[in-house]
Amino acid sequence: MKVPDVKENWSGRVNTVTIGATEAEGGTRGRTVTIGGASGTALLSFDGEMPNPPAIAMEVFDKEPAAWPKPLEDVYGDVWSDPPAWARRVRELGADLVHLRLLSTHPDEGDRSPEEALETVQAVLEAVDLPLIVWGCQVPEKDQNVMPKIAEATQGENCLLGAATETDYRTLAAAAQAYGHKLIALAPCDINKTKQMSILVTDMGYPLEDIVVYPTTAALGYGMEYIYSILERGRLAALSGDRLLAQPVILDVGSEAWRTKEAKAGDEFAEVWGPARQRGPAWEAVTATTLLQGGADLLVMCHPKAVEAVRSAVNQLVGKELTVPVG
Amino acid sequence: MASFRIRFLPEGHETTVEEGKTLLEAARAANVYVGAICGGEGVCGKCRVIVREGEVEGESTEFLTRDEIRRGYVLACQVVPTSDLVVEVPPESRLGAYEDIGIDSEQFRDFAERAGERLTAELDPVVEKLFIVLPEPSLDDPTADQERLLEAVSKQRSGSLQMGLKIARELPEALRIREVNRSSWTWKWDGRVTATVGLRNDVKEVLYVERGNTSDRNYGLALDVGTTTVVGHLVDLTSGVTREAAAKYNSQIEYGADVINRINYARQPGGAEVLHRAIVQDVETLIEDLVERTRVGRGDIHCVVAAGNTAMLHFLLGLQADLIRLSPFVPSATNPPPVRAAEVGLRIHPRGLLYTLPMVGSFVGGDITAGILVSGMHQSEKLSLLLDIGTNGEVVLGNKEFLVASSASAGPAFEGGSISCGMRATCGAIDSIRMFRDGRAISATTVDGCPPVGLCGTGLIDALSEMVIAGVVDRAGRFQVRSAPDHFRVSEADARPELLLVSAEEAGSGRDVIMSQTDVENLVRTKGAIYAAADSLVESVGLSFEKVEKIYIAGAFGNKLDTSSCITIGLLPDVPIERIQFIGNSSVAGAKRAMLSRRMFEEVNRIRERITYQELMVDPAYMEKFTSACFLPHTDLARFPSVAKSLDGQRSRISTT
Repeated sequence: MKVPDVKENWSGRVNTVTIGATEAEGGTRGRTVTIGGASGTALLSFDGEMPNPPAIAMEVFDKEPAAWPKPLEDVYGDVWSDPPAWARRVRELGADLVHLRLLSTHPDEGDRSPEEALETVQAVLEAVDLPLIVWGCQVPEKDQNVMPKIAEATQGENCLLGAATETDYRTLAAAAQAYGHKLIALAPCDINKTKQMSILVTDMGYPLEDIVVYPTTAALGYGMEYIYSILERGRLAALSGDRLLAQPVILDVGSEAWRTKEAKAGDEFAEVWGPARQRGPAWEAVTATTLLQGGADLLVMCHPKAVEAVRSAVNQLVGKELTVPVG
Repeated sequence: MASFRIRFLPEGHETTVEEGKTLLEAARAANVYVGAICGGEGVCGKCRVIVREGEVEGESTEFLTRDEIRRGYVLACQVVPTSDLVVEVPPESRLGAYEDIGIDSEQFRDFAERAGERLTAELDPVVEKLFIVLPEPSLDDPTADQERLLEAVSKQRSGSLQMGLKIARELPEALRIREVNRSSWTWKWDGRVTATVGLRNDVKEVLYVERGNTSDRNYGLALDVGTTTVVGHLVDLTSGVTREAAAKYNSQIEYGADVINRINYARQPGGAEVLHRAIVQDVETLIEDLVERTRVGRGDIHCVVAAGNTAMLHFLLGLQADLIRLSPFVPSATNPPPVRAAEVGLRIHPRGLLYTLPMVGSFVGGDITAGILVSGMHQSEKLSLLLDIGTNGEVVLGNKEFLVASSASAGPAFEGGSISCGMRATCGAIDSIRMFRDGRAISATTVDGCPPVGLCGTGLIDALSEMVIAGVVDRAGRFQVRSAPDHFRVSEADARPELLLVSAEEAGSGRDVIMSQTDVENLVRTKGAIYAAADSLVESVGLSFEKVEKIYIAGAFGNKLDTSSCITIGLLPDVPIERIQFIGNSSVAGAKRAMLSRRMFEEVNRIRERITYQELMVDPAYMEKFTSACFLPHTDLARFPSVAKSLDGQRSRISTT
């Protein structure tokens, strides 16, 4: 008996978004990163093409993190008060992009001025030639002052700027459009909110094709399945031809995974939970690989071992050569 | 314990309250109406009063501006008197004058007349009067008085009959005249009597018998017991003609704006009795008004037929309403038998009957069965949708083959609740609005042409629609202060932007009429709930709005409801306007038809049995539909092609600025 072919014939495709610009393209990046473009469900080669493997951006703060646990301190402790040095470190560790979080502009985290924030951004751009994601402090009043300055000063670099929200999207979208940047649209864990964000931003004239969606992120054990099902539903709708859900997706895996007590707790729990140096990266890696299968295109991550494990898992799933993460 | 004397202006009612009682409680004791939608919890900000003389103390509130506090404004539910007081109740907090909603307002006349034609053809009221001439008994025909009468009634009306002991006792004297002859008297046969016969389910009851022919004096009251408004129509049962109509607000509003709040209030000791008495008093007030205007005697009103949602009918009958609210949502009764109206405290003829239209379940009441009857959708080949837009939104889909109903808690926004300048459709309510596209000039009409005081449902729908088209809000309903700065000003109370519609100088209340961001959010949620309910119901039977051939809208919207505004904000689906028909207050219309025709009454019962109730609230898909409907007009713009066109124009204007 012949096994029937149950493969779906998808009519849609995920948008492709390119971040960064080389000199030839008007920027100063060594290369660009393109995400999205899948014409089938994630990592299933028989279902459709996946022309761009999931990209990994690695986390850089613009100030020393307040409560990062030891496994992260071991990797970044010597550079984390120096954003350009930190950016060089993540480049060495294999990041595709640098994810710069402007934490210090937050009123409770130092309230640094737009000018100071801009200095950091420019220093990071000079330090590494990776494409750049810049994420504001998510206090609308502050981001409205900071982000347009950064958008203007980095014109040509084709950064990915975040994040536009339902209540405050106009300033960021206008700045991103005026200075040629890509835009992150925050739509918390809801398909309809995702569509609504796309509509609000495109109603201003911002191109739908330049939006990357951030549906928020939840770590393993902390509601990850909600994000998974939203990712999967969004992806299936996109492949079925829903243009408003065809944007590639960014997930903030690192921060979420390292907020969990299982990742943070030290070796006092080693007997029951295993050693901290493995546990945290494993928590981050499992969260990331799981969510990749729901249909994420760009992950923000922290620990190099987790990054390595994710790349290895992806390679295995798409049939590339097997590499074993170094323990 | 100290007590204080409180005088309420403008009427001058006075009361004495004990120390520690709030001003709202004092107002209730003095029988002065002060709007308190939240039931006195300090969260609605509607019970604004002005302290003219004396001192009060209490919590500060965000609902009053600094200027208002200087002028003596307080929230009645949040302050207690600390001295004797003179308190003014400003217009916005007062109960509007009785609104004469008209017997059948212009827009619905056509519909009502067609209904009327059908009615007069088969006039067969639930209570009728029969003039009977009985032959005089003799030795050859010694049938007893009672049997003699019942036999005569049976000749005119088929079916089984019953008669109370009280009537049997009085019957001999009704049939005969006492002829007094000095100290003694004898009986003289008359035999001409009028029997009033009322339907009690399958049995007819001879309610009472009176001498002579009074068959031309037979009236009934059709009643819509709404959560917000109570409407009564006084109908001549001999002709089917509505003599007069009256409406007033449901006094229970003071104890909570929606059904759930009222049921909660009823849980308090004595609360259920308070609610029962309040609604009975409201109906009594309507009767008083109607008999005064028509010169009909209370004793000639023989029946009341009440339609209303399940909770309201429970309160009217004094039934336990608490279980309506609790899973598995079992009402006390959905098809109560006719009872003596006097038993619930209604003073019509002492033997008169109170009928309630059958309900379907806890959240689909006798107002919906009435609505279906009036729309005629249950007999039509055409697939029809009935939307009853109230605090609880109810939807029915079907045709002569099937009927499915559902309900969704929509909130009181369209009735003025939860809206800063919201009010019911009385004098001074803005009921239609047109904004000029390029400025902030506004043309508006108000109910009765009074100076504007606030906005009623139709005005709110219009305002939101105009804001969408003008780009004053984005599609999420957010104020677009930067792209339309002329429309906004900064609120005194919370420094947030607000849309100024009418300035204090032009307003009838001396207060600005505004819309806040929160108002818009509440409206969007309310319209989203109703659309999502309709959407879910249509989808649950595997259909879509395009397949719906007729959409009936029922509710207390009045004449000014603008269909295209409703579509622009996404309250109604974007179907050709000719498919949409407003049937006004179908609840009272249905009660009236059931009252005038036993066949119709039976039909309501059959409708009730045919309805399948779909519980939407427990369906995760409903939440999804609700979220996508909480957008203007909807997340999926392809559902609203006509609105998409207008918005396209708006977008091109924005991109050029």
